[in-house]
Amino acid sequence: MSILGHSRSGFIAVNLSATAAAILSLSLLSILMYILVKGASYFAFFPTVIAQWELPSGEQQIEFAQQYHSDAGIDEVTLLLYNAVKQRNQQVTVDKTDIVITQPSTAVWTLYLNNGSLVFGHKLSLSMPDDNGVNLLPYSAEHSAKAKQAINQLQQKRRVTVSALAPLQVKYAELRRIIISPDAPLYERLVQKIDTQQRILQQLDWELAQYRLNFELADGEAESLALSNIEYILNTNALSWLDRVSFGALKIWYFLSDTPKQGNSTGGVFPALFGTLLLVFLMTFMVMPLGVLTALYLHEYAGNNGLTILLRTIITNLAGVPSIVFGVFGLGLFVFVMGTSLDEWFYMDRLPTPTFGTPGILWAALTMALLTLPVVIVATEEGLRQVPDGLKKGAMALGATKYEMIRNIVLPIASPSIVTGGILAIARAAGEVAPLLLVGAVMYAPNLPVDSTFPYVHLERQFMHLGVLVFDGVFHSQNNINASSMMFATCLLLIMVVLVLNSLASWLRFKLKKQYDWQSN
Amino acid sequence: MKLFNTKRTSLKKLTPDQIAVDIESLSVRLNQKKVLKKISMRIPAFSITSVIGQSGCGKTTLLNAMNRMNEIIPDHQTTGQIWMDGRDINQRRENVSSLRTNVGMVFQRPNPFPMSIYDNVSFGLKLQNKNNRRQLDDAVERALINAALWDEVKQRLHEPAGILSGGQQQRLMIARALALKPKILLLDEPTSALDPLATLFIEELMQSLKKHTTIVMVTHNMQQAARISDYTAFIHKGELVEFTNSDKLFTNPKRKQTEDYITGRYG
Repeated sequence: MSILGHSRSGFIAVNLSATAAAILSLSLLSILMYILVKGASYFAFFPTVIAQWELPSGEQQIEFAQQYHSDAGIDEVTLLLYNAVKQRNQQVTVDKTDIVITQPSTAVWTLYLNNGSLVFGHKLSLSMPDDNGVNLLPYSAEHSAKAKQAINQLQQKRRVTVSALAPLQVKYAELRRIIISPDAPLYERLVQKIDTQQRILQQLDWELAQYRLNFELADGEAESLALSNIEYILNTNALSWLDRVSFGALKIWYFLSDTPKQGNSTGGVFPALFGTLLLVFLMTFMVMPLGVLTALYLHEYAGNNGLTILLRTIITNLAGVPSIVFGVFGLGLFVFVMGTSLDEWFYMDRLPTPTFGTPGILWAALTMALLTLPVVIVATEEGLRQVPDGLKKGAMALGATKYEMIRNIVLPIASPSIVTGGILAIARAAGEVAPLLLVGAVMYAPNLPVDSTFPYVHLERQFMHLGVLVFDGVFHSQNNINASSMMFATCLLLIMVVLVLNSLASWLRFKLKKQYDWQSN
Repeated sequence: MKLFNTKRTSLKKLTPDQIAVDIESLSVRLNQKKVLKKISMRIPAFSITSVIGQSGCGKTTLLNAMNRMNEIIPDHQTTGQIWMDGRDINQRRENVSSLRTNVGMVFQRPNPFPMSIYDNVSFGLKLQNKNNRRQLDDAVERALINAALWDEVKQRLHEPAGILSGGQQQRLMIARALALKPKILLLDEPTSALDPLATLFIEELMQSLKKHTTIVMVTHNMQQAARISDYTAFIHKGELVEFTNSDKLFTNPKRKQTEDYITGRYG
């Protein structure tokens, strides 16, 4: 067959387009796989080893450490060890030629601290106070459970004390602001109350610190930590396969529910996940009514004149404006103009400390709404265009006013397209980082925008965002494998959040389309 | 079948209460184009009046003028009077919504809403906030019976209207209009999208409807106009050429233009 024959039968065109599609799907798949593999290693199990290696000075160093699957190269070994002097973890990379020994050992225990650090030690024992003083007991599951029970009771008492103290301190701050004289009886009584509570707190803290775990480091030095600071005590190498899997599942749960620790290099991402979802929901509630109403006006009410065409052109082009420009605009208009005015009108008493006059989740949601507005308008108008004129006339001929016609006929039929606009807006808003950095997203904000103190929803607060957390994580990932894998796990979570939100919206769209399918006849 | 009913009242001898719509020098401009020029006609009550004429001569515009549907077009201008029930519906203070419930309309192509059969028929009633379930049920049943559709759909009232055939859909459209108990029913080429059998069905239905309703129908089918309508109006280029009893118009037209049209010399 001639070449012409080939091209006429579409052979080349089919093959070229098929190849392009294959390359595209392969690259998409490999991106996803890369993130999946890298992210999953955050929850993976690494062996605890006794490592001994030669320092450049010729001395030998011996440490307990966690050995990572090295991706720096096969000639090197990456170890995570605990620096007892600096009281934090440290990652070292050692040439294989310098290694004397790396040996997994069941004698080494791993302590998972509340602050996210890992401590390695052996020869564990427990210090438990009772009426006669402090007893030294060998470490066992039974004793540890008993200690945990006692600690839980003390911590419960501590929580009660703290929550009793909080309103007192608020009142104290209030009295300080209106400058009451220090010898006023009200003031004195308050100070006394606070003093008592604080003394109780100190006593509780002291009692808590009596329950201790004693152990030895690799160099034989004795160490001791308060049990209340330790989350888990695990002999990781001795764990069964099933235990390792369930511990991985537990890590996933902690990743989703815990706050970031050690400068966002370990711990969980709950505030960021919450912030992202809240931002997306706020944004959706802002952009959908605004976008749909604008599209309705443009399509149903505005005359078909030059002004409408100009407006439509502006809206379409708005979608192409770089997102950072929206960020700058949001900072300038929302934060500095609107926020400052709000402060002057409603929060005069708190000035010069700004309330709404600083970046916060409300302004971030507004900025994102502005950013995604064109998407919603264009998609909605597309849907409105698809409503057959016959149906509109039919409704009008039955005595419907224009508003009733739009509400009962036009909007239901256009609803799948409106939801499509929503999907696109959500996908864009969940993944956008640049403008958020200017209008409210921060690297670390443990206080959620929603909590149990009045008025429960604090839209003026700064918030964490998964995308911003990834941005922050990139800077740690250079020299910290754990932080790097956490960043990838965050990426994975971000993808999944977008996927779940999209699936929800797609399902809704499918439902609506089935219900209002005017083409079925 | 009796082709011509000779007992019809002559248009000139109508008493005021026999007149359903009295149109006086009606002119309509749409998009800067004169579509209707000074049309005056009296449409008798409880009869079928056909409007025939070439495409684009203004038939549909005349029909739309009677329930002010021309106002959907942004650039429209209507002068003259249309009297119904002793008032001019072209007046500014006329309530257009209630006018349209009194003057029902069925379009060329059936346009069922993407809802159930029941919701389609009750659409107009619900707009008037008549939400009593039993009253709605009764009204829907009555409208469907009157539109000769009840027996075919009573088992599947809550299924989407889109599943019905074209002829059934057109009868559903008539039922939808009838649910509001209109005094006048405007039909805009109601059978042109239907097959002969469905057409016959609709024609029979119209005959039974005219006992309670005044029917004004636009049609391109002159046999249909001659067959079922009592009176026929011929419109040419926006002007009313001839309006008289159907049998007279089709057997003995007074004007040359009418004769040319009905004998097929143009159009």
